[in-house]
Amino acid sequence: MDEKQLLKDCLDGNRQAQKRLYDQFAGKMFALCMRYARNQQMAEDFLQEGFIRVFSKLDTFRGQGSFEGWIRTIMVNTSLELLRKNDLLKKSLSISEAFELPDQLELPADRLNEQYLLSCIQSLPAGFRAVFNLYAIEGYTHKEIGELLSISEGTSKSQYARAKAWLQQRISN
Amino acid sequence: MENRKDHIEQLFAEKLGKLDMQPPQMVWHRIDARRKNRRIMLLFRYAAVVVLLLASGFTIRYFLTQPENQTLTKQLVLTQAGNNSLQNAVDVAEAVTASSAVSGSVETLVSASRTATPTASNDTGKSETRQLTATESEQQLADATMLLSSAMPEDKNSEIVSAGTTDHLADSTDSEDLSTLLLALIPAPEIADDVPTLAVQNVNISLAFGQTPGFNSGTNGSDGIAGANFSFDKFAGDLAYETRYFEEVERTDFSMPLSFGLLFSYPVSQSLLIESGLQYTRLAHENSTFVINDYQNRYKTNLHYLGLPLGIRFVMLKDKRIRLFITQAFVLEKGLGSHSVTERYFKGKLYETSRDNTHIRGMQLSSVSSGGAETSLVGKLSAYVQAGVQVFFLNETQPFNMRSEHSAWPSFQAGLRFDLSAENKRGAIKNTH
Repeated sequence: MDEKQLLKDCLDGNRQAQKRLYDQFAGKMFALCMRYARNQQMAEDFLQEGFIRVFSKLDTFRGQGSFEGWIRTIMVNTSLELLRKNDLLKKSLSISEAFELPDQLELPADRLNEQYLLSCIQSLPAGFRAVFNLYAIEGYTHKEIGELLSISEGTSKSQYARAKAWLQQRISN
Repeated sequence: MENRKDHIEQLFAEKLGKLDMQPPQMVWHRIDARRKNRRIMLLFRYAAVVVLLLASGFTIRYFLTQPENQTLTKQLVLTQAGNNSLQNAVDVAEAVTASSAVSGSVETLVSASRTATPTASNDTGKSETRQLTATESEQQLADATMLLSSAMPEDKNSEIVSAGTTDHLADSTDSEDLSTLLLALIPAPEIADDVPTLAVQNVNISLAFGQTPGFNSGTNGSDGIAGANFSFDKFAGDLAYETRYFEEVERTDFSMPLSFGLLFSYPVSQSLLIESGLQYTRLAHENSTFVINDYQNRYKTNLHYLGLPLGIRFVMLKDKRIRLFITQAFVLEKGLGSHSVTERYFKGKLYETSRDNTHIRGMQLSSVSSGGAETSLVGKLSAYVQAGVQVFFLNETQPFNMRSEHSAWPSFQAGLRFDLSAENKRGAIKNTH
């Protein structure tokens, strides 16, 4: 079944079609959510909320650009919104505190495997984590990040530089 | 996109950018369940809106039709009382009150009065009037007045007609419709200033100034690595969406919220009033971030709300000088907007300021329970103070504010109340005895 037909069936409320759409993108989107979340449980919450929004906003997808890109944007925005709600002001550490953290991560033989890199990102303070993800992986500019997170471009650059330095230290140690 | 990636960026982008990780199967089940619940909730919301509209319609209709009926009711009853039939007056009061509640029409009132009080009009054209002494008449009148005041709500048009054995009444009962007869009572032949009237309550308008004392919550520094940088109440904090700071907040200071507005009070009985109106509330707070690399940001936020209070006020004690009351109200508030000023500091010196206005989604519901006192100042002007507790039912739509930290706050309100009634003592027909 092609993507257009799948979307049409989803819009018609076809539960089987919705499940197929979920199965098609859940893996990639879960990995994305894992990068923004502190742990797997939080990532599952992001994924759940993100897909609920995908289904409820499906009628606004105009077919311009890739559907995967559209879903990815929703997932990123949902993750950021839930981070604002749940994480940042409650439990987030400053980067200076993060530097003082004892080595909570066991260094694997292959320090460049995906799981280790993911756990490095997850151990960043939430604000730094978001900026690093948006800039290094999603490809946003600092200006766009500033607008997205309501921070200045300078703050975005500053947080990104510190996050990258910390990650570099983790990898090269 | 510019080619800007260095080694670290490339490493993370390549390894994690296209990573595929299968989530647990239960995630899909939760999504499916949420979507079903969402549909049910939508149905409930539509049903609630319909019920609310219907209830509002009936309430408005009730209050629009009620005053006329009550006026006639009192006049009827007191006419009977003046005709020295106290028991009949009681019967009429009960019958008319019951009938007016059902039909609300003048015709019904008249019909009921005729049914219940055969002495009021008879076939021979004479009222069965028993002559009383002045003392007896006054006593019966006082009894009837007390009875009525406890049996029926008052309204702005009601006036107590101190009718004795009025000859013009007796003469006209036979040939004229009773309602016409009663209307003839209104232009009183003599105004007796010394005749006591029942306290006539009317629509009042209040100018209210309220405060919910906000406490300077001070430093919210992190208490250990695992501690929070911000001392949120867990429940409230979880629900405070749209907090916009993607930085580490070191300190939050709340300003004392201010509100003012207009309240209208409408009496439904001698001691009970319904109150509603409009009120404006301003919430303000300032967030300061940790100093990182000599940089620090301070966010000053003002939230503006317009609220619709709806509640009741019960007057417990009435004195010549002071009235004590308790109130219970619900306030539905809609955010008008959020205005924030961001100040950026480098080495303690302000180097940049930016302003931002954002929309506030959703509504805020709260409950205010309070008690207070009111005293007359000049004429129809009185002043009141009240204190109590305001409980906020937080929801996911409201931006962070002091209500996010605790859901219950003490509430103080002071204001001026003005009686809008055209006449409080319109006068009374002098007892001719």
